[in-house]
Amino acid sequence: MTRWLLKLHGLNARWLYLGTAILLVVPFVVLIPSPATKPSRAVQGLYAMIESCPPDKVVWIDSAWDQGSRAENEAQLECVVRHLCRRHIRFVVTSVGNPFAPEFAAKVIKPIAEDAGYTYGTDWVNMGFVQCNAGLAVVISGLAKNFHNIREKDVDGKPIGELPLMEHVRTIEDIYLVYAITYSPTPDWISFVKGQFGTPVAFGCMSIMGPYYQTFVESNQLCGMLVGNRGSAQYESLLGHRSLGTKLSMVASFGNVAILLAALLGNLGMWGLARARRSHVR
Amino acid sequence: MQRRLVWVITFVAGLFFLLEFVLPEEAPAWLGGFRNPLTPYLDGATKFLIVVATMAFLVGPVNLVRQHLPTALRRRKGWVESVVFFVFLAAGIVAQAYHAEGRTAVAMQAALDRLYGVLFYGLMLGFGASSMALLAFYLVSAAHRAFRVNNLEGGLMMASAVIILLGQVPLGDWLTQGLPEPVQLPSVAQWILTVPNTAVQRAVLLGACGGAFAAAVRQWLGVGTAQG
Amino acid sequence: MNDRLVIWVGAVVTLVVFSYLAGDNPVYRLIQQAALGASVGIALVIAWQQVLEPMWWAPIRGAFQGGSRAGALWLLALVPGAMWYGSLSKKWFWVSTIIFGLFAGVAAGFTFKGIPLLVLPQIGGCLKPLNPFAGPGGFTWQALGDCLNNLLFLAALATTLLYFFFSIRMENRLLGTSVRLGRLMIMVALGAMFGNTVMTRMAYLIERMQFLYENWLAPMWHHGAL
Repeated sequence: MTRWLLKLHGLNARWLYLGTAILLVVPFVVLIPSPATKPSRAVQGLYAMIESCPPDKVVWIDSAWDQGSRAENEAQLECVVRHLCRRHIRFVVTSVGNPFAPEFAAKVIKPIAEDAGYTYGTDWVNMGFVQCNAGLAVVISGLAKNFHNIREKDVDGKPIGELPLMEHVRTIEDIYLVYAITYSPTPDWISFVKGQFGTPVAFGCMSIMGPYYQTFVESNQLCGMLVGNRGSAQYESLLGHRSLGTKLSMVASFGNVAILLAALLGNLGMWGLARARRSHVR
Repeated sequence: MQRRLVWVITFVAGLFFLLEFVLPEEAPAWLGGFRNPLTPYLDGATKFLIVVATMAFLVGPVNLVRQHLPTALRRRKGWVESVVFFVFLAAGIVAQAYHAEGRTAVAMQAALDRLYGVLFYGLMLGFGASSMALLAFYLVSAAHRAFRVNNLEGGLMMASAVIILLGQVPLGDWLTQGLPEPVQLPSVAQWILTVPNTAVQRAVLLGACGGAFAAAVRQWLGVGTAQG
Repeated sequence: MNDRLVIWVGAVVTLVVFSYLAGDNPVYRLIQQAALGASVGIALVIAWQQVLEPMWWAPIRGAFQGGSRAGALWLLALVPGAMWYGSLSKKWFWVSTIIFGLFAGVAAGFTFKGIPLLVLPQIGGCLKPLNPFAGPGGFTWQALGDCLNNLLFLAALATTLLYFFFSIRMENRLLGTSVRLGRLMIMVALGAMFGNTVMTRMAYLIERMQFLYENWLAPMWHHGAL
């Protein structure tokens, strides 16, 4: 047995890579139903916020993700936009700090908005990329005080003053909720939007940042938060529309099993090595 | 003289935004009822800062060109890669500049749209996402080589990680669905995140923000820096 | 992204990047430089189209085409804007320190605003009820559980803060035990962060596997679409 355990210790990493890849393909080939999950307090908070949004209010979505965080952020944008469209709530979209983000956001939002009968310019506006080299706090604060000063044209170059929706949206006081989605939304949203103006803020972030932002959910500085694909899956279960988040969350089970198996094999190998050393000493 | 100039500019810039925030929008009558003298300039100052900051957009590309151009022209080692860089730099500029509708003649438009799609969704998205995906493979090999439970602290960390890993995916729901809800994996994982984890993160945040505030004061006053 | 050419390019790029697992190779380096060049080119044009053109160039152009003359003042922004490029030269590097100093001052000013707005509610959030009898409904098991959680929360918070106070001598038994407890709490939190890190990394790979199977391979198998 010690010989087999020593083999585990010296296992070539490429076998682990191959095993991981095979394990991850299985759930795409064999469809496995996903059990119902109880949504967390953070997910329920965001859902309740949008459910209680008056129809004449506007939501501000800052979709600042690109190919680097598409794996988890895309589903977070999709489920919330679907909810907004279902309730026919108007929204404006910005991409603070990421020049590639407007394209990714439009790709997700357009089909959902068209299906819901939304008219661009009246029901939703994509204000595009907002440069943040001056500092995220400077830009967020500037947008909150006067959208039209910071972004005079939308993503396609149309003057935003000519868009019917933007006649009513000038400052943060015209906004009901801010939903910031990116790899790691900056806490400046909490300081300069929630802290300074009292407008509720919610985050959509990668799983890696979830533990860090949990403290803001607990102190009610964030009204809600979607963390990774699990957050999207829970939101979709509240919406009753299972989509990308649920599918990817299911596959994540296999990914986590791969990691745990690798750690288990490593620890078994270490145990085997210790046994071999002890028997060698004797 | 140069250091003094930089210090003055740093101090005045910080003072403007600090005073604009601290001074009331309109002072009470017993103070004279004056309006914040800095607020009318805030929009202009913000716009100026954004424009000036964006003007740095060529610094990175200029550095890249300075690195690749001599390599390509003198055919040093890796010159093919430098040529490829320039070709795709030009292609990216052309595709982004002209891919929107109505910018070129119809016949060209379809080709430019396709070029944009290939570069943005095929090349950039594919490379960026795949590079991040490599981390998953490295994590698996790191889990095999380095995640060893040798003592209480290590064991506690691994136990917490295992509960979080299983409790946040449907597998955890399935494994413990027969148990009472408070001891199911998702509930225990959520408890770990909301109680001990939040407490630790808050403690770290309080300490880090204190340090960041002190560093900002030093930076603003130029204390202990090259400008001070 | 339904164009098969785009999907094939994405699939080939993905597989080439994955080939890096076997070792660095020339094809990977070529793809890397191609992606870098394309992203820099696209980002350059976006910075002009969406920021500089509407905010800087349009007012200047308007001033010379009969619009507001004040727009011409934006030409002066070229002076601080050009200072950034001093960093490319050893002789003129000192010029760039002026513009760096400007933005450092701005950042400091916003930090003085931002940190109190962020941290004060966090401190307020530490005031948690510890008496299970003091709730509106009197004693309940739920209230007891909440109070025990709050007690653990405060203990974890205090011991973690204590762990990072290096200036206090920990020879005292109570302090030493508290520091050890803080360390254990930090380990639990690190485990939670590690678990979430794993999920993020796996999500990247899952997304790529989904693309390769559902967008690239499956249409070929099921519909014969090349």
